[in-house]
Amino acid sequence: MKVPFVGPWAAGTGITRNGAADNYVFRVSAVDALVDEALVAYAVKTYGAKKPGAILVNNAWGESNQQGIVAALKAAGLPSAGIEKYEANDIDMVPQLSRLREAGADALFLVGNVGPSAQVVKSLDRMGWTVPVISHWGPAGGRFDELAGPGAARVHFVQTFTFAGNDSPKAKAVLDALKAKYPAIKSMADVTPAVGIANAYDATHLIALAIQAAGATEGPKLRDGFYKIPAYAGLIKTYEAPFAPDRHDALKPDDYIFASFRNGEIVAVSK
Amino acid sequence: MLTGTLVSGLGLGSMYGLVALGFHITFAVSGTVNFAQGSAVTLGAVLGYTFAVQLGWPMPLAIAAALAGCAGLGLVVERLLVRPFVTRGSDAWLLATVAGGIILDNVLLFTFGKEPRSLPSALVAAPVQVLGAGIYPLQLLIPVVGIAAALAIRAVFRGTELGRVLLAVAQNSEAARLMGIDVARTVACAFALSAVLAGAAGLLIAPLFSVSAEMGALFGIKAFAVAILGGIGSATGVVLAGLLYGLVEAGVTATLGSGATQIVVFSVIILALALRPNGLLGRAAVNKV
Repeated sequence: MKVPFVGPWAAGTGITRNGAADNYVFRVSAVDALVDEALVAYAVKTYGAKKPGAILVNNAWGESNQQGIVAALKAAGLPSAGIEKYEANDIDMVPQLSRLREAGADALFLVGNVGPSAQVVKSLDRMGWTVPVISHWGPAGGRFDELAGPGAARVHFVQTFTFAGNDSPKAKAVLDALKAKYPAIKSMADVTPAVGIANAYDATHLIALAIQAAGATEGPKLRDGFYKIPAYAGLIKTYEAPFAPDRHDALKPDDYIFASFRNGEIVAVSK
Repeated sequence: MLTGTLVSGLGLGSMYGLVALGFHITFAVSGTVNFAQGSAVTLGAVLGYTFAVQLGWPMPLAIAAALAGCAGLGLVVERLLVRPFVTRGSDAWLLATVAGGIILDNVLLFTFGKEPRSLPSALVAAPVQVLGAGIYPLQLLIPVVGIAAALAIRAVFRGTELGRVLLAVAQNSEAARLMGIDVARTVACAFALSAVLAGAAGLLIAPLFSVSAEMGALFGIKAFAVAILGGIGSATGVVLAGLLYGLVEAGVTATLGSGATQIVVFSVIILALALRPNGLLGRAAVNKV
């Protein structure tokens, strides 16, 4: 079926880099392989990490990032303190974290959704281990600070976008429109996940531009339309030729920011 | 690392044992089990959160109301998903209770939402140091509750009028009925108590974990493994198996790594059951012909 698919969320590297001769999959989101490079670079630059470890959810997402982290550490010439896994419903990660501490981990890479990521933080708190935690964007997917408690602020995670502290007119306009449409939004803490909203917002507009460029909605013509999208001032950034036959990801490592929770809001801590 | 691993293992194992006690009770009284036990874990936590956090009730009242809700669930499961099949000599209650659990999980997903929430407790506000390992006070309370529940159930079965009624129903329900015992009510009470134990586990787990519509499923599965391992007819065996399961799980993770945990734990269970087919403290059923 030759119908273009645009992913606004899943970061699995193989989704767009799928080896298909005729690739119809596009993405406006993070890419695991690139995120993992960013995590390693951030750990070195921000914390001077020399021997990081990783604690990953035991599923395909964790697997994708395991490969990415191993490759990124190798490229950076850093040894690994180990890679541990946990099940999504695990309550207590102290045994896995104890192994990483015994192995001399001086920073941790974390991959998991909001609930288990909070359990990792609680386990670290219980151990009294104040190791820096650099995470994929899982914690941003819910009320991480409520679940993890005060330790939530220690986790710096990748984002493609934040509303908090974002003074661009477009960000303000979209946030105002969200509040008008969804009265349940009382504070920034209710706007979760901001990255999903921003990725989907830009992806929708890029699809419209692709249809406009193609002048048609038939699959093959529309797919080629994605390669002809002109410059577009989106919510995340201004896109210049976002897609090409050999580049189906609209966002690049330069577009990633690191953020953490502060008083219920996701706030950028570093570009 | 040893102390931390022991604490983790005992804490987790106690929770498994508490849920597994529910399997024990219904099996001991009626020869059936409620495979919606995992959902009762979830219900206890979700109701506790709803009453205590969303409605602002005092915690003791919220806990009592949540456990009452779980008791109601147990009664409904027995009346709608077990009794209609047992009375007709069918084993379809096996699937019916599984299906009931799936329905409840999905109802909770739609009503509570998929987003996990936090149930605050003073017992997990700050860890205390014991032999170099950080422990939340609640983690010390959970094994106490689990062991106390097992001892209480054992004492009730062995030393009270109610226990004699339960045993009579378990051994020969027809004879018990002829002796004037309300068998249907007794079995229904067993299911209510079973769900209350699962709900109590959910309430104890929630502050350590989070409250979510999916939190109980894995507990239900592990607890059933624990019930079989301990000998489902033995309350002491079930709790002992829960503690062993938790300790092996945490010990394997700490020594061999998380990748080996499920492989080794379930291999140990198979080996243990091969050596003791009726569980650690279980006894083979006697068939009189």
